[in-house]
Amino acid sequence: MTLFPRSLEEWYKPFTKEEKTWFILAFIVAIILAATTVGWFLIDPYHQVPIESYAISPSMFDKLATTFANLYKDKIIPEDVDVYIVAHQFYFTPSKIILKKGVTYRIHISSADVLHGLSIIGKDGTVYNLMIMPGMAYVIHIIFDKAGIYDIHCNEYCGSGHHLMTATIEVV
Amino acid sequence: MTETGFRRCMATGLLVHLASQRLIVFNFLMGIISLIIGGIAAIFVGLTRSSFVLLEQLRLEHTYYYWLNLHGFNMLIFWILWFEVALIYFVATILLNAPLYSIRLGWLSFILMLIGWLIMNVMNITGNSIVLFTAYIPLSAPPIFYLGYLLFALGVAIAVVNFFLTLYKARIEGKYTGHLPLVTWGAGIAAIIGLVVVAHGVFALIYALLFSSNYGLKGDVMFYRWFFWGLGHSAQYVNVTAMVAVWYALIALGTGFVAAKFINERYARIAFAMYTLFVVPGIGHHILVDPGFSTIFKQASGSVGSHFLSVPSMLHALALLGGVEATLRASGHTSLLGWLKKIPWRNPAISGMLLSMILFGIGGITAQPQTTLQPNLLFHNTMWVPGHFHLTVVGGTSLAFMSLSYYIVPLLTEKKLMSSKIATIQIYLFFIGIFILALSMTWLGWLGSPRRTFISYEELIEHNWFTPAIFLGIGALIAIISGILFILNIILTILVSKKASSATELLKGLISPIEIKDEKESKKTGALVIVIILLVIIMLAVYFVSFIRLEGLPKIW
Ligand code: HEM
Ligand SMILES: [Cu+2]
Ligand SMILES: [Cu+2]
Repeated sequence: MTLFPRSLEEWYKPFTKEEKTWFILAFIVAIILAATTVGWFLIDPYHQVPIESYAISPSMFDKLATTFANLYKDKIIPEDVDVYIVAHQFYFTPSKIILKKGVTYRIHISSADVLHGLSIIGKDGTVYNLMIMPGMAYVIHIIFDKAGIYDIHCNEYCGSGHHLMTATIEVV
Repeated sequence: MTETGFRRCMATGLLVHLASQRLIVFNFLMGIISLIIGGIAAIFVGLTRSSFVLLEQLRLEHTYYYWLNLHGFNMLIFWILWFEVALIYFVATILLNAPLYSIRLGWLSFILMLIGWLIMNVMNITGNSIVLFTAYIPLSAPPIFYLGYLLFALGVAIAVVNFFLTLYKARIEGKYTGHLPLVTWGAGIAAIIGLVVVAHGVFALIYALLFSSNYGLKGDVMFYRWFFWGLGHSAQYVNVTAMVAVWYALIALGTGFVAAKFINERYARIAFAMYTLFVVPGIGHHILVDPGFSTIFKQASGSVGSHFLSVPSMLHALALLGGVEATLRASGHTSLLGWLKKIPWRNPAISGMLLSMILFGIGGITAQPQTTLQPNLLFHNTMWVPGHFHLTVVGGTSLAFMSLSYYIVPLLTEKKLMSSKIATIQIYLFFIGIFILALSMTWLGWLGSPRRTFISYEELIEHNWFTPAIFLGIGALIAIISGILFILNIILTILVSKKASSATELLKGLISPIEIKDEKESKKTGALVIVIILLVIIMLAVYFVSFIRLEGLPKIW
């Protein structure tokens, strides 16, 4: 009886065949799930969570990104230039970047104030989500293969104007 | 003769300590009040995230976060935790014929929780603390808010300690013989995990308190996020474990104790114990796409660790479904799946348990890709996540708690349930509502719609989020109607319903006994087939599809 106290002999039942099978199967499923994520490093090294990051003060990063935004306003960003994007309550600087397709870019992203999030949402079904943290810059290596517009959206609640935080990546 | 201060339950014959019972009722009622507040907020968040409300003014661009904040706190923290405190008192006192270790400590815990609850809800309602339940620094609320959070947590911690002392005292005073009932044992595991929660919680909240009171603490978000999720993640396993314990109570109550005999308790107890092993390693799945944490750490803690957390829940699925099958086979329905038709589907406990299991199971399926390092890139902070937890903690835990309420309230008040028919209808409506709501959230998440975000019309249309958002609204309305039925049924039972004069009157409409013909027939093959289809084939399919999708997106590393 699950609701009343019982003696050991009463509840200490051997497993049935089905129960044994399922016990083993449940662990096998967990092992398959876990092995896949580990194996994925070998299967596809180019669809991975970015690993590069560095500590930097929010004000310092803000300066870097603002300088970058002024330099490349409405310009196509050349291949060997690192991209900087800073998140503020409630906007991104730069609010638009133009990238070339098929080129590997390094996008540095960090926050000037509170926690934010980066969603890249494209018409081609692209959805990527990362965190943007004050004091820590994320370096994202990314290659867009198709030309088009990708929307950037903040995905971490950051205050009353959170939903206004959008930006654009144009791939040409 | 019963001792003074006790009454004998007419339905179960258990000794009920009256002062402990009062505490249980008060904690339960605070849970109901929180559910009402959270439910009112659910109307606004539900309609705002739907797309069929055509007036932009009704879609609450400026107050969305206000309602979301109120909803999150009152539902996830207050409704669930008040109920759980009532639950651990119930299983430690009434099921063991024992009084609570200390009634005073019980009231102390209640008052601390009440003060914390009042502070937080006053701050929430006046709009001074819209930080959402995660309260990530450096966003901050006035220090008193964190103090309220802490008092609430402290109150819960005292309740947990009181629970353990109650078990200890009942044991040494010989209030019961043999081993703890399975339900009490499961709740005990929940309480142990509760201690992990409190340990992390106190740390995270004091940190946030110091930060918000400007003592010069710089406030490291990474650090805070780790400890917050030490609280937040582990707390979800308190909810899971408590829910599973409730399932075992429901299967016994609904069948008049018949089906409980066919549960393999040893299997269930091993599964319960496994939760404690795997909880802490899972904390990392909340920081999978944060900068700064090392990949090996994320992988080991977040993904690999978390997958093993589903093993105990998978085992419980077979233990319970197998228990139902074995009972029905023993009553003469011996074909592989024929017993499914013979399940007492109209019984509020059995339907509550099985529908809660289904929703929780689907939640477990959507959990797998989201807890995995690489596919987390697709789902992190999208509507996939609220989709997942509206399946687990709403469809799973809340539905199980609602279903159990239909039994606990009559047993405690000795009053007949207002309407057992409406109870069953309510359970089905909630199942349908949450199923639609949560799967449309999941769909929105697949399309990249961010969570905790007001979405304008232009965006709904631009990103093809319009259609799933229609379903979201429909699901929300059904679930809200169901919630109103639940609250009315419970409140009217307490206020209006008459005292029952006999056990049969008290339990009318609540029990569906099953007649056992041949115990030897009790096989569990059908249940095994079902769990293999749902939790192996479909689960792995959803998981691999996420990887395949990732493969087709722009390269990222
Ligand atoms: C009538 C039923 C309900 C409806 C219609 C509903 C609807 C919603 C919606 C639309 C959101 C917002 C998603 C977003 O923008 O991120 C949400 C968030 C949430 N809901 Fe519910 N919900 C219901 C019941 C519940 C219950 C019973 C619980 C508790 C166990 C719950 C817990 C939460 C939590 C924790 C959040 C997240 C808050 C946050 O992100 O800060 N909900 N709900
Ligand atoms: Cu934001
Ligand atoms: Cu977690």
